[in-house]
Amino acid sequence: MIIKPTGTDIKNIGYYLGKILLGFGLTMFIPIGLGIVLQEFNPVLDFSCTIGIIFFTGFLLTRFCFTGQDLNWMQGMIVVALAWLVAMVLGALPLFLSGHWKSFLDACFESMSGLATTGLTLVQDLDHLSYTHNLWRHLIMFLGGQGIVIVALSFFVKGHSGAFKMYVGEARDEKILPNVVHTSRFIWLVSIVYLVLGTISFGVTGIINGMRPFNAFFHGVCIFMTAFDTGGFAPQSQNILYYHCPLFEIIIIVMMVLGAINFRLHYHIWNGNRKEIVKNIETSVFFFTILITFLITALGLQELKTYSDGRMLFQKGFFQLISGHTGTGFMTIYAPQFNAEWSNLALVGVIIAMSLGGAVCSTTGAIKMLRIGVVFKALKEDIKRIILPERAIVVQKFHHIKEVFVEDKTARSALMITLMYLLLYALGALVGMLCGYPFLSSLFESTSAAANVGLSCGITTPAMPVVLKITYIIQMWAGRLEFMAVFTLIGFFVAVVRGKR
Amino acid sequence: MKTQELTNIVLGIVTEIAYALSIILSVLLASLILTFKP
Repeated sequence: MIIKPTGTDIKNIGYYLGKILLGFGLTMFIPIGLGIVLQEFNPVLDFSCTIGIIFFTGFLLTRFCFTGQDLNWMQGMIVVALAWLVAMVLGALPLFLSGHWKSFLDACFESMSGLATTGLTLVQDLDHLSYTHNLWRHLIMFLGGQGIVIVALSFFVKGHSGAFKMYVGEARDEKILPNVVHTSRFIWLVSIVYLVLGTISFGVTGIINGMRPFNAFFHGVCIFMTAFDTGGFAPQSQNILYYHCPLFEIIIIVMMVLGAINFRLHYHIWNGNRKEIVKNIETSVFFFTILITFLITALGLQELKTYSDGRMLFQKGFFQLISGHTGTGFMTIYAPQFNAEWSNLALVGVIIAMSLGGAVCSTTGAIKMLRIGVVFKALKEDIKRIILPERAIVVQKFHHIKEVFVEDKTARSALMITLMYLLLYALGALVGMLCGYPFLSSLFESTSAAANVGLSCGITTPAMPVVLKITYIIQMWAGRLEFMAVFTLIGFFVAVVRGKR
Repeated sequence: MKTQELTNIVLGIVTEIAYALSIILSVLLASLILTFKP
């Protein structure tokens, strides 16, 4: 029997949603500050209106929905799923008011793409977008990569069990420190340290390459935020191709790889356990899958002799591949070149890389390395059981911070999530084909959206069908939250309609 | 922050960047081998 949610359930959800909204609203003061300094008063007005709406809604929710009760698992998951949808709508408001997006749906697409660290974009005339709006595009990517709930946890929510439930709902099932608020703050520490290092590296490289100092550091901070948080937005419409600088690309690759590393691994490495980077199953699998997918892509590119020398193969082929594998979506080629110049085999190599992703508890999307490793170990265990005598005891273990035995429930969970991702990739590809796009292009774009990557072979434009825009928004949302929070929200609505008291 | 903690953080960052560079070098080597023309 399905039990109908009570008024207390709804009030508790509303209260925590209000807190998250207030945290999200506060972040809008950053673009406002930049807008005031640069005297971009129209964009400042766009953000001021939005902040007014957010704070009004947030205060109403926290004032009238206070129950004094902690969140239970269902409520925590629903808060997270709803928070991402509400943040998408409110984050889209200033973008839509700028007039650079054709419709509010396009602005919502951009906002979800930013928050989910995807990087697919529907902006028009990006090169003339105000600095204030452009900073917001990159900032929402940074906030989404950290996790909207992480932002709220760091400032507004005290360390109790309700906080942990929201933290898990946001697809971060690994607690780094015993207290989830301290975990959130450690995630910020890593990001801020790399923010400083990355911005300086990009800024100095930009100045050396002839950019004005302000622009070099503005681009530096924007590119860092989207590289480390594996997003993929860039301040210019040509994306990374705009810079024409191999050193810039190398620094970006380093930042993308760092962003794809598990925050828990960052913690152990930063606390002296440096050998972990060699022993950990995620870093080993990541290294291996990069080499394998690069080999497939390179052989595909060799078929058509797209890039004949090693340097170009590395600079173009590997950059798109690692950008896909880490779930970033930066590009150093134009989107139509994927279909025009890359062979089917090369595209398949990138699709496989995109579908795998980086580490769990990182800023990447997709299936993720730990699950790939666990599934592989479980498969090895089953094969051994068949080959070895019946009396033989077969156990498989892997190293992830400590030695862990592969248990049935671990393998089942990894397989379930893997299967859900594969279904999500297939669903988007099917909708793409129903809209008239070819199979491989549809699969490429669908995988890119669902795995929160952002590479595009040209389907994602403001002119694409509305149904496809909505499909990609759902894919980005479900892919970022790793399904559980989304399923709980669906279950909650079913319970509201069909549940019994 | 103690000196030991700061040293660990700096060495940690160096280790992570070295890991990223090792990926880049491995793939660069693979690219050169794949496109090698005697």
